[in-house]
Amino acid sequence: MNRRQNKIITISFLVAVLCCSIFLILYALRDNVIFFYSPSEIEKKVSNDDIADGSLIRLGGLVLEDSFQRGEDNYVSFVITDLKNEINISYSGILPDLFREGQGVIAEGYIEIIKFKNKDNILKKQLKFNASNILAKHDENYMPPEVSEALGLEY
Amino acid sequence: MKNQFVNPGFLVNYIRPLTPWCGGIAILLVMIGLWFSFYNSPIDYQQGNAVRIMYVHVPSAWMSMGIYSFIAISSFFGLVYGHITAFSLAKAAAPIGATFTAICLISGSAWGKPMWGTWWVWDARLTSVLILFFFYIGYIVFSKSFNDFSKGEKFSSILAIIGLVNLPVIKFSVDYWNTLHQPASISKFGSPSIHIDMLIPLLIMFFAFIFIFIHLLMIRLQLELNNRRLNIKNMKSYGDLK
Repeated sequence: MNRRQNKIITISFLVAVLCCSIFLILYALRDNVIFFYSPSEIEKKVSNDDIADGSLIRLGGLVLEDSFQRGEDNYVSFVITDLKNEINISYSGILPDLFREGQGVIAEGYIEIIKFKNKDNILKKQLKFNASNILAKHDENYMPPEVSEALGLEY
Repeated sequence: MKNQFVNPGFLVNYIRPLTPWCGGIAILLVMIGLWFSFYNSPIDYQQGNAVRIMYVHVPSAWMSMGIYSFIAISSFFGLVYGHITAFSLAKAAAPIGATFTAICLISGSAWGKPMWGTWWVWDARLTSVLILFFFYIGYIVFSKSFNDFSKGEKFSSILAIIGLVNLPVIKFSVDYWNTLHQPASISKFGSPSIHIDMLIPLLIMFFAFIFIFIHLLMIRLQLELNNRRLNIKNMKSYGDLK
């Protein structure tokens, strides 16, 4: 009986130590485990000089309503927002089927930080994002089209 | 009564007549479930017909996690109480669970391409499920890589218990971090955010997968127990076992 209890204690201890170490690892890596940054996080990082000009990042948020514009040769531009901050995206290529205004999307590409001085001689930073890849997110709601129409959702 | 079920011979006598019944129920449920998911369920307001991949993807994801917990718990009882049946159950379940995980990854990939626009991304949910698949493979390889059965059982059981840490990471990955994968629709607080006409085929497919698992587990358990008997016989004849 004693040997059995010893085994239970050893295994429980092993699992507890593992849980703690995995938690600490994931906590330390929390900035790298996330798949994309929101516009607000990027604005904050740029103002803290954590992101260099021309670095490759993923930016996620909603496509701002009435911001989508189509240019020549598959060139598109739109605005990604998290309802606090907005970043302009330019992209040329094929968009996923679910891409719409108001839809959650993730843009993968290079950020351009343009530094300029405004008329009061204060250094300002403006962000431009050149996406090389656009991914669409969909939410966890599943329903037939009739139901979504009844709920007043536009798609 | 309790000890009888731990006895392999008794257990095999008990499950042998049940095996074909489980298989029959599984086939019936798969047929009903597939009919529901292809012909008698609505399209999604955003995803259209691609939502039908969910009826295979989500149940196999649940199965992959459920079977892993089953393996880890069996391994725990095997290690603590030394029951042959517990080890054999865990070893019998591992390839089935690995297959469900592979189905989950492949169907998810096929779903991701039309909806997200990519086959694969390294976000927290997808990566942690891939790690679960590697744990399954590692468990199977480890349990077979020793001449002495009981040694392999012991080491692979420890590996299975270590891998248990991965399950909460999979479950909560979509809540704690920004991921491309959407959060849970059914296993969350509050009412499920899935329409009832889509929930019914999903649950039928889930029960079908459970019966497939039980059916295969029963067959594979008998195989594992026979393998074990053969292995002991071989070891005796080669003089490995004194």
